[in-house]
Amino acid sequence: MDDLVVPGLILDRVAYGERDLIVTLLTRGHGLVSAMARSARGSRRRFGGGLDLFVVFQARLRLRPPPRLSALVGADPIRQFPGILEDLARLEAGQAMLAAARDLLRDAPAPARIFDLVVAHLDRLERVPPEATHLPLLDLCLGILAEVGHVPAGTRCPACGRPLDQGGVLLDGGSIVCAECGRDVGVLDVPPAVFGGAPTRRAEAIAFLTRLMTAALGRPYRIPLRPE
Amino acid sequence: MALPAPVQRLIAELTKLPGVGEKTATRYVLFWLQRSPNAMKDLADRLADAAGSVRPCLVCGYVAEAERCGFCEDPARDRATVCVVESVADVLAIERVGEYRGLYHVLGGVLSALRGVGPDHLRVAGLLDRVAGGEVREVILATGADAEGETTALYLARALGDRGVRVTRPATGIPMGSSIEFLDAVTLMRALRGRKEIGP
Ligand SMILES: [Zn+2]
Ligand SMILES: [Zn+2]
Repeated sequence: MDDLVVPGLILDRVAYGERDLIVTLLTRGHGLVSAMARSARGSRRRFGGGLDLFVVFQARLRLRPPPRLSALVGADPIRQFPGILEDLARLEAGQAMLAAARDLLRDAPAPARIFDLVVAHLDRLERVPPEATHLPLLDLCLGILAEVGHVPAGTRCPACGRPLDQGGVLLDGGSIVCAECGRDVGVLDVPPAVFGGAPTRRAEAIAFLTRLMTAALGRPYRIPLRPE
Repeated sequence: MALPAPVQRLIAELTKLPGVGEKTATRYVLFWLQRSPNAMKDLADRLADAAGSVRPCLVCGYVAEAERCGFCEDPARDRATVCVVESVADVLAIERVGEYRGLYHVLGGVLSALRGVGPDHLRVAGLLDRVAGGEVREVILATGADAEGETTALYLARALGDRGVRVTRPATGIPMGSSIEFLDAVTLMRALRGRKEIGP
């Protein structure tokens, strides 16, 4: 099989043995790929700094059918986010973003749009002030949920078409509809600011995201950010 | 004929070691079996010795035979400086250099949102307690130079910020003996951003 050469971004990585790394890549157009990166650790690292978090690289993948693990044989950096690495709040929010993307996309198809969405929100994270780092996280989660069909992509109720600028309610399973459609079945009020574009307060956003992710994934979910 | 069950269980146990697959584990076990049954008994005794007599140092987390490790008990070490590292292996690496005379603090990992590792999973509270004790003047944050290592260093720097100690971090940048031409873009970018002024 020919090598696949595609832009990729690390969503997760675990050490394997003394020198290797198993990485979970979000690729542009080929979804999530788990791959073995041989000699990625240790004194003669094969990929330099390229396999760190927050680096977009041209991945060269030798795809293998499951259950065999694909191999990452090249990773040439094409985009970095130094602004994220210099600030604790951005680093924390950025890792929360990668974790959320990993968890939401685990069993979902991830078209190129999703890759671009993640990169665009990392780009935004580089530039927001430290106290507003929850906003790219919130928007990325809503954006991915919209792509995978849970959350309305626009600002209208997917059931009746009414505008959501007065807020909405979250249903069990992660969908958001207007208050009218969701009466008696909603599990959580969605603050209007989520759809109005106005900044959501940090504690409010984290509480909302916790419920949203828990509903969407069907298991308790913790957002790894401090609410202050 | 398959190997007897106790041998298979031993092989399975050895494959839990880093870098040891089933082939290697089988080779180890056959080596012991061929030497003599006593060789295996000796190994078992050494393992039992270590398991029974060694534990993490209550102060710094390094390997100790008593409540405190050799570093923490050594009167010749500089007690005003504490070097914070991720693992025991990092301590051994720094000791090989022979340059550092202070004490250590082994975190037992790094903060990682992806792995669900928070400050409570690491020896963070113990570090803050040590600094609150008043003897420490400088804390060197020697966690790795990747995103999680950086997060951990920045987190600790902030937690230590108002405690009146000097907080430093080893320089990262261009590896010695390498030329710019062959550096990967990530290492080069970080080296450039971490540049410092040099004298006239
Ligand atoms: Zn409706
Ligand atoms: Zn000690």
